[in-house]
Amino acid sequence: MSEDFYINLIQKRLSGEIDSEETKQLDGWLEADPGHGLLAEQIEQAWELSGHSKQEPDLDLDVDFAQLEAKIADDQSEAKVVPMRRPRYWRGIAIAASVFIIAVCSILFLPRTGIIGKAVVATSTLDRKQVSLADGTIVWLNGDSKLEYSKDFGRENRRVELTGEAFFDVTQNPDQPFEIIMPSGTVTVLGTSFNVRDYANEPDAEVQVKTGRVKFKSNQSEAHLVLNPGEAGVLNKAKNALKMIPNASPNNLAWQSKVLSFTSIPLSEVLELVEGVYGVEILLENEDLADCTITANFSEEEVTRVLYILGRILDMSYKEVNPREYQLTGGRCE
Amino acid sequence: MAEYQAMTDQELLESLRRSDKVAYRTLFDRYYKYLVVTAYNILGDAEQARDLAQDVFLEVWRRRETLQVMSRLKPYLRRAVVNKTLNVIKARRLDFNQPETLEQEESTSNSVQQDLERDELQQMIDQAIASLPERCRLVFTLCRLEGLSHQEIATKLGISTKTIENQMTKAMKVLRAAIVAYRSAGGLLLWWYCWWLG
Repeated sequence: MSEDFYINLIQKRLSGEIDSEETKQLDGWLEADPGHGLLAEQIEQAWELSGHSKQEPDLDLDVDFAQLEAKIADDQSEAKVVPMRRPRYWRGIAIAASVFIIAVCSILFLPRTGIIGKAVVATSTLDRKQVSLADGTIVWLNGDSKLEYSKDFGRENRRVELTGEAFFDVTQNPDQPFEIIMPSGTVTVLGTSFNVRDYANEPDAEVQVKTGRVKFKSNQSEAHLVLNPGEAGVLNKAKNALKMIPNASPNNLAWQSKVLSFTSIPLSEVLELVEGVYGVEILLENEDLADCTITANFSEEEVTRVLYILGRILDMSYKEVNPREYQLTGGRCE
Repeated sequence: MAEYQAMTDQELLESLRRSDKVAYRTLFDRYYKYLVVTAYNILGDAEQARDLAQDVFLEVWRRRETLQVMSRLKPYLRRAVVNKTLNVIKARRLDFNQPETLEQEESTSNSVQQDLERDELQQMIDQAIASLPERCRLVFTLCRLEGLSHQEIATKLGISTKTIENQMTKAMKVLRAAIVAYRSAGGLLLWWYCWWLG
């Protein structure tokens, strides 16, 4: 093995990433020659010193705060809508079903004026709704969102308008593309499943693909991306800048799929995501655990099961203190 | 506003919920610099670091009515700014597997010379880190200064852990060379090192 191989192992030991097999290899090598020990010592010293190497730029807090205030002013004039709460709660199948019935009834019983009207399905902060369209497409609508479509949807086109966030499972139809028009971007597909998100109070609009291919185009220009499964497109509304993220986190889809995957993610972030997905509040009694990292996968588990497993990892126990409110107690990092 | 400075982060967040600008400014004074320094040490670009730190505070303002920070605010904000730097790095679409050469900077040896009277070895290391090629430096600072694991950096940047290990090995070799040059008796070898570093 080359010297580089062992330098890598020494570095991994210093950053706490070495495994037991590698430790054995490294120790054997260090014993083999005193020169190896010297090299390890030099690397360790370099590592130690590099931890103190923080550079500080010159700052004028008043100047920077003024810049920040300008950004806030820009932001508020851009988002005319009242600041919205992030969606939190599932209301379950019952609401989804009733919404569907209401939507159907409104189509059937509204007066026919000759002008084709629009069907509107909207959610409040705490709602999630599921909508079935005439072509068999299913739409899961996240909180604070609105879906509009013409009552003759599917006859001449398959076009819907969306603000907020929704997951689409679009029925295949090569003759008639499915179009989603959002405030800042437009998505065109044939048959696929994907998530779109365009909240008025957020700087970016996002499209993340689960299956199939999706075209995501800005409404301000001809700029567009063609996205494949696992890819996401992010449109910065202020700059009209589109960028592609090749390995988008499946956790972005978890509000709909309840599939969560964490690799060395701090507990505080894990809990934030779990709260959003399950619509619960989680209190962490021992704040020292916030930075402990979690590696775990969850697939359509109940929230209590998720908390149980997190508890097993960090030696914590959970209890339900109020409906939809849990507390994690005890615990320690590895 | 002395009474604001005495308030805890949680109390300030509570006031912020009622759009209290003084509470907001107090939090800004408390953590803005920390966020700029964090981003600056990763990216090495002061303008961009300030921009990202301001964006973190912009989000705090946007979400002021609903913001729930379950534990301490400082690591929460740090995490937010680090994530923003990771997005910036990712958007640069760097190919971490491409070979890079050490940059040649004529001024380095002079400034090293001047700083020797302070903390000589620390200065050598600081210079060595600054001299690392961009991708190598990014990986190194994320690992060493931000304490992110190899796996985490790899996942966030969409590259393999093998690439991370290669970059870390490269960084450690450059830093070790600084130590070796310093130890083996300043003088000639030190100059050789400075010359080699650029």
